[in-house]
Amino acid sequence: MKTKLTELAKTLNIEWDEALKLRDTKLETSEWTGKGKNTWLTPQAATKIELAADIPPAVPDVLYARHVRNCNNPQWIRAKIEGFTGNPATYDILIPRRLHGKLEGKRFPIHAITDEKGTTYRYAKLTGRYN
Amino acid sequence: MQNSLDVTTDPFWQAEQIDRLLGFEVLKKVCTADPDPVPPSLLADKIGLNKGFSHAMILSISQKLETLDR
Repeated sequence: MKTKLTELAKTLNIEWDEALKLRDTKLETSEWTGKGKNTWLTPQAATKIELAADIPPAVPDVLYARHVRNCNNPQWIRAKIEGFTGNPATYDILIPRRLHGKLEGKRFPIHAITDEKGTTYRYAKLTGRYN
Repeated sequence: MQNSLDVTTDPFWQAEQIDRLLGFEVLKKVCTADPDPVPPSLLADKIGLNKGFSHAMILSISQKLETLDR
């Protein structure tokens, strides 16, 4: 059952602006519908927002990238990340090995995983072979 | 087109990325108190290693423990 973002923000005792920021940074566009205060979240998205409100580093930021070229290592590709301008123009993105050569020219969601040393970008729709 | 000076083939760079991704997975497991095991293939996709890595690591640990017991 879908959850309304305004109600979730009230339950979590967070400001509306913060809830909107969490929606925009932590969720894929396919995980929510509606506009502004009429935003509805899928159950998985609501769980992510709950966790992100408590512990922000536990939920990675979601960005969108477009494949530019393959790398020598088949688990990595070079892609342009939407919203990032300047130098470098493209970034290394980790992908499942089975998707090597299948993402050419495609736009896909990625996770940005950051620690004190830097950031790693990873293909977001990971399911594993048996899931 | 592939680049001959590709950073993705550098073992030190790879180790840094794997360390970061593995750290994140551990953090997520602890934060969510998730008791479900992660299948080796999914873990391999998440941290950028081959799917036989988990098995090889467990085998290596068991061999080391056996050596210590003797």
